[in-house]
Amino acid sequence: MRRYFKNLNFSIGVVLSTVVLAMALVSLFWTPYGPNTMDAHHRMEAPSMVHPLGTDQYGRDLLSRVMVGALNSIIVGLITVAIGMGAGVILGLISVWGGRLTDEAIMRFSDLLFGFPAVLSAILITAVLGPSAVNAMLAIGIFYIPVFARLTRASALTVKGLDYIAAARAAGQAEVTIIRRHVLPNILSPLIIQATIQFAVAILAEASLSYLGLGAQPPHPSWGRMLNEAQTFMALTPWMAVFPGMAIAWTVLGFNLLGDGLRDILDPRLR
Amino acid sequence: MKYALCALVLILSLVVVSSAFAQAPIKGGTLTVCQPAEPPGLDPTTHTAAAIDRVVYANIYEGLVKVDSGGGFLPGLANGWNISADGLVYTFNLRKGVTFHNGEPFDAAVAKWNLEQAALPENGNPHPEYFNGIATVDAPDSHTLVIRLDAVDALFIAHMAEGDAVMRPMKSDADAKSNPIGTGPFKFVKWERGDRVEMVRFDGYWNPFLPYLDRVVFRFISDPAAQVAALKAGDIDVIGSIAAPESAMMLEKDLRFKVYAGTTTGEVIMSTNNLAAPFDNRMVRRAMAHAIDRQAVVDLVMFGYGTPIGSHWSPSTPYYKDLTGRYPYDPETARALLKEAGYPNGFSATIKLPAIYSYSRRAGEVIADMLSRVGIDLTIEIVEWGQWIDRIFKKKEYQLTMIGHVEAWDIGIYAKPDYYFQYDSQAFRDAYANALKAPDEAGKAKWFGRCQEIIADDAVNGFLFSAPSLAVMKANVMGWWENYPTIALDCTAVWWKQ
Amino acid sequence: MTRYLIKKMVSLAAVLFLVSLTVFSVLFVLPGDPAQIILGINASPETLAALRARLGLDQPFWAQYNSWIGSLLQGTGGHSITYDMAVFELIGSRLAVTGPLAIMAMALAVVLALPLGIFAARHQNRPADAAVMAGTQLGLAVPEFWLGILLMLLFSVHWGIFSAGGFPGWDEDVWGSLKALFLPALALGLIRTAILTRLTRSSMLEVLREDYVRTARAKGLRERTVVYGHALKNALIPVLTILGLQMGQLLAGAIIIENVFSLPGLGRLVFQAIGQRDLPVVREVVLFMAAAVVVVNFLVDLSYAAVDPRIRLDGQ
Repeated sequence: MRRYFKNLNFSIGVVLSTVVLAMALVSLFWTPYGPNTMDAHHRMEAPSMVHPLGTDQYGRDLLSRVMVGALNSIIVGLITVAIGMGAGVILGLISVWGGRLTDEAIMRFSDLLFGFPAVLSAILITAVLGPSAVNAMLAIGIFYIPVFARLTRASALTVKGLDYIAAARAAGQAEVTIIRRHVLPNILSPLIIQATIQFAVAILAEASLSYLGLGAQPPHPSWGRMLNEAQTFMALTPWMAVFPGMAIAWTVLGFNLLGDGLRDILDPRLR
Repeated sequence: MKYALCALVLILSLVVVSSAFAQAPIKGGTLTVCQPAEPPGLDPTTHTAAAIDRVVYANIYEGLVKVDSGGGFLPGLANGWNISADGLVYTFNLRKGVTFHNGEPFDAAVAKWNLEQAALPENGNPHPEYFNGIATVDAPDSHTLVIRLDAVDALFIAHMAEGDAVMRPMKSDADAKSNPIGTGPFKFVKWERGDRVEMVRFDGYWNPFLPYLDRVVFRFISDPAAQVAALKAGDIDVIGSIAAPESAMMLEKDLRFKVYAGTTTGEVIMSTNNLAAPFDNRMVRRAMAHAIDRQAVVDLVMFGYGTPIGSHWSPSTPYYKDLTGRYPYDPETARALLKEAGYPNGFSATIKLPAIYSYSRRAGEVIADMLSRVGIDLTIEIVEWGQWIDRIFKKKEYQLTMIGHVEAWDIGIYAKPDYYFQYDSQAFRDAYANALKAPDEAGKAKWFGRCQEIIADDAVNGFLFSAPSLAVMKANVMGWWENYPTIALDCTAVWWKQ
Repeated sequence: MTRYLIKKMVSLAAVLFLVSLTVFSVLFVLPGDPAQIILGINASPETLAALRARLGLDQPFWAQYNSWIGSLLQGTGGHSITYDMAVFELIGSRLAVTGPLAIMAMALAVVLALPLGIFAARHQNRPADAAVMAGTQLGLAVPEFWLGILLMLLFSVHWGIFSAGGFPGWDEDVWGSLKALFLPALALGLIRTAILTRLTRSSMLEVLREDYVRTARAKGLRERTVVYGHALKNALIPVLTILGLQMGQLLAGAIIIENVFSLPGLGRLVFQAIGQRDLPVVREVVLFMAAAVVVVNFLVDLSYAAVDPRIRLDGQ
């Protein structure tokens, strides 16, 4: 473990993301005010002791909303990476073991997804399914499938050619067992690194979609939508436009550094 | 007598003083008006979009009748009109010497053609019902138009003043969507898609004293922040209806600008599906009406601009009846009514809000918070405009929604049981029929008032507030309408003070 | 090479065909009747049916798809319902905003990123390098629309130097138009500076480890000559690749920043067209954007293949 904390990126990443995780967890049980409770008498108040981050146009406490927003972002990151990694790893393995045609089909499918401008497709998907937090996560998760599929394919191809796989095969082990026992553990490092980075990208992507009004629905706080609402109040209440953005940058920075640090530690070749 | 003389002198001196201050309008100049939404075409007779009327109505196109800023009706292309004693025959005396921008003369034959075209379904007039009641149109001479109706229609003149009834040239109307030709004070020049519509002074306008301006430009800037920035930067002179009321609040403090917070014909309502449980229960609807603090809604959503309403009628439309006291804000009463209706612990429901209207999204959030305090738990679902029309308006797949009904004189929608409120009341239909048939002002006032009362009593929808006409402009823009009892941004009498 | 080219072209056409089919299917099932949206909520059923017939919306799926592809192949394309003009023309006029925006953003990124990246590489693992890298980490973490909002807060609300969005139009006010594009280009550009700086640095480091660089150094050439004369040229190849890819992405990816600054660009056009159910616009703009990305990828592949013969073998 000491090896890990000698890495500066990793250490900073752990600190930053722990703060976010803690905020999200605490918000499950406690927030200073109700995140959606309006108060007509305390609208647009600047940060103070009573409201550390100020209040918004409905008199809602921004700190409470940023806290619940953290939970929202963490959930988005987890679910999108789960979708992308789940489907991507399976597709990647199929494309290595499933023969030339399957491989070709899967790779062309991922080309197609890569060829599509991501934001645009997310907009189209939410136009068909309706804007909601779940559909936004689905739209982002789908784009992670080719990312993980290609990574799995590339890593698995390298591993597949190694001697001990041939040895295992010669020993009469079934292919499924080989994949489970020998391939997956060996490609885990690059997958974890990628997952951490995609986690951060997902938080950015969800913020963008929410900013366009396609993510979490009101009154549920999402950092992106809070920024959208803040824009027309910019001159009156700049704090509304500053804090949710800072929260996004903080979180993404944390997970990016975590990912970089993990890469430095687990996969020194990539430096 | 002496006192009377003194009073007379006083009045006279006041008149002299005030007229010395009131400057005579000055001719010339360009006015750049910001209109948030770009119109989907420029022909008001094929589309209901308010953006079309805001650009072309009264500026490029005119109808027989015009609405004045007080909500009354003025002669437009008709000098005046007579209504027969039985209320069935309207004789319009058309203005002489009126020509279209392309030189084509306007006469009774053109007017007759326009009215007949509007009634044909294939021409796609969104309001064929305005014209379907016309039995015959005759042009006994070049400047007299005689219209005979099937039945008495108290709103016929009001409808003739709508954008749907403007006069287009008979010979060259094919291109009206992108090249409108009318009789108005301004002549269409060009439409830069996504950006602007330009028009210039029409020298052949029938009123030789108007317009004052040489050129009018409508710029389409939908983003609230960009609107304000453009006004401050001097790129635009007027924001016809500002998208973010909070900006109006800010600009009011700036001496370079002035804010007009007038009235409009629009009512913002929480539309309620009267057939969907539990909203089919009048007691539940009344409970909700008591749970909504209308003034707080106006404050939180519109920053205080806007007037609370108690029924589907704007205070700026004639025959308005003040019913705002019908359901005073009282959460206790609301809870008691809910209990009586069989919901002692409240209930959950979904409110679907159209994404394109920020007032609707905001009002939805505010209402959700208010109703949560009496135990009604609202889930908010933001829907795209296309889905709103499809699922809510057409298929009625909704419980609650939030929308502004902008058209004047539209209370008749409550007489249609298949309208998306799904409100079915014989009492209302009778009252509305009586109102339409009312031969005189007193009768109209009585029956239109009754209509307002019935729907308020049934708490058909959550009647919230009348949308304000929030215009912000440079301080030396004169002659802009303070109230907008019709859908338009009329630049005919606007001028620049030096 | 010819075989490789043909193969790539076929795959390109296949991807575009699939994109067109996907877009068309998605729009076909899109809830919301365009005729109803055009005519508004009070339209009568007859009027609606008439308009639907005129727009061809009453036709079955394949008939509609075929007539669309037919019109594309003839070079006429569709007709915008909202704007009443040819979609191609509309795309052209919007590209006049998005194109310069993308170019300005990329130019800014290149001007900042190349020196920064080279500087960081030459000072590897020293405080200067760490500072540059920390800056790029920040650049990767900040959402570009928030950066846009912050720039607006600073430059327009606070200092009043730039306007907070909107676009005067090229033929109206060239200087004003350039000014209107500056802040959004800065927001897009700074984020891409972070990406390109990191790339330049790592690519530079890799090249500096190569044998020929060592040889050059061993020959006693001056460090400047080694870095700029020998290493830079080769280090730039991957940078240019990413530059190309980013350019393609930017044509499509400026949607959000165009919304922040309400610029009448391609992204905003398609975003609004979806809401207005202006289907001819949506499908052609989406296809155009996908084509831009795919074609740029193709060109990048091609230039790679021209440089590196191994890729050709890989392609077979």
